[in-house]
Amino acid sequence: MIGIATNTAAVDVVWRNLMGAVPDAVIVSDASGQIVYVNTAVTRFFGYQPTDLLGQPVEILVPRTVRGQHKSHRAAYHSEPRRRFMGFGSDLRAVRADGSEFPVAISLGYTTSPSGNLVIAIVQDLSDLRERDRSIENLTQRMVRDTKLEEVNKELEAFSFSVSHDLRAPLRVVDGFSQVLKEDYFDKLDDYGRDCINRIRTAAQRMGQLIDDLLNLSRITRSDMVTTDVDLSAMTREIVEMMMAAYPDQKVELAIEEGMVAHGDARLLRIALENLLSNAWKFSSGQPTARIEIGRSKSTRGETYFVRDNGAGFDMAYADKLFGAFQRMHNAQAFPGTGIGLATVQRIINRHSGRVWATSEINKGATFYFTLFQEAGNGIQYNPTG
Amino acid sequence: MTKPSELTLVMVDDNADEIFLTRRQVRQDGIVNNFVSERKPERLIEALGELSKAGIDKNKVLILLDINMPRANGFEALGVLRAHPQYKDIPVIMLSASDDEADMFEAFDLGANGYVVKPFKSDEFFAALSNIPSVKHQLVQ
Repeated sequence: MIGIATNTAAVDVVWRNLMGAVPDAVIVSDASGQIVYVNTAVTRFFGYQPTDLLGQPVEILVPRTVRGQHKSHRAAYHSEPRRRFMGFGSDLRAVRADGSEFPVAISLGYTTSPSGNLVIAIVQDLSDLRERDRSIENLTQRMVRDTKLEEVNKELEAFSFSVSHDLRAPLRVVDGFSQVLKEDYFDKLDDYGRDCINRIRTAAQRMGQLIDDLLNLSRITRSDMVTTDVDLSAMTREIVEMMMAAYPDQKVELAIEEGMVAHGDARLLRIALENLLSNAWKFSSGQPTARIEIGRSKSTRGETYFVRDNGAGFDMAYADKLFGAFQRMHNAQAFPGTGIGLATVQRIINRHSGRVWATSEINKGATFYFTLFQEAGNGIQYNPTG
Repeated sequence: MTKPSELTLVMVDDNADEIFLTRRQVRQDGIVNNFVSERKPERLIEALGELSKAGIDKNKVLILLDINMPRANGFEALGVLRAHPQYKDIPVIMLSASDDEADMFEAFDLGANGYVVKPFKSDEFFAALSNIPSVKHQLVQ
């Protein structure tokens, strides 16, 4: 031991063992920058024997290119010593006995001794970060895999787009020729024949609607996202005005929370809100006074938006089917629709890396919740589109 | 739309049912009475030549051209027509089951005068016709 007083030999032994066990390199230098102590890890890190280093300027461990800089930093440090962390990552490097360099993190401490002031540098070898790099690489590979999955999804989407597209032509024939029959032969048919034609026409038109819905749904997945700050409160008010104009006879009590601004694709978010609000309208149409509430709740993991109504609700036993395409919870007589609305909402929320879910009780209304761009609590989360 | 125009509508579509239904529709709604159909897009110029031979003024011809057809598709047929010295100025309305904007832009880039998505309503077709200056004055309102 040079320059550090010890009270007893026992303390000295404990101290030496301790320093030997420290996984990081510990280098003590005096006010002139000469190395006065190194622990055993230094040999492992730098390839020097302790005797090679003692009495040498500490710059021996600093890459040649920054040695000059280091000297002036050292002088500045001695004039205003304090505990500090010098840096982390590839910007800070040390040099081994063989001249090779490696990335380090360095913490500095300061103490006084009978022989003068001492600087204690604790050096961590960051070469081990390669391990972490490897796990990042694994993650990257997973992302590439998921990207491929996304491509497959897109192909599937393109396939469903072209199939629905191609279905239009034969459907047009069914619809067109049943119309010809109706126009030219209706008076030649009896009631049964007329009923048949009407049924064909109704079904053809419904199928046309389903195909249009499918195509629109597929467009939502295929379109490019343009994200900006979106004023959901203002957007809700606009949609609500449209709904009130479309259903002037329905009495609706509204509560819209002000100041809901979210980051997202305005066009898509409008479609999602339109679907949720039009559902709220539709399913509360049986109430003497419909109550529809649009708001948000904040939690540590971000904001959750909700659309709540006091309408017909649904059985929670079927909650998992709620967001499937063409899934319907009610019969068409009571509540018309093709069952594409919530599937559309889910795709839009998925594209915003968010979640959508609902709670309900039959005849007591339903609440639909959604989040946007929600970070996962642990690690990196990303949601491929589709 | 009380009286059909003097225009001759040439419909190019590989689907006989589409031709039947469209012919019926444009006649029924009094848009045009003279209706000629051609199921092979590569025969478009030939069909126009036959019309000329039959004494039909090419200035009173209007083409309704389907996009998705086997062999030469509607865009190719449109390209051939627009490069033809004699018939290059005949107005063309593209007919498609696709309302994809990219298809519409491509159609107008290639020199189409209108674009309707099938199945179309007669007023949509009439609106497309009204947008073509050389056709507009021939329409009877």
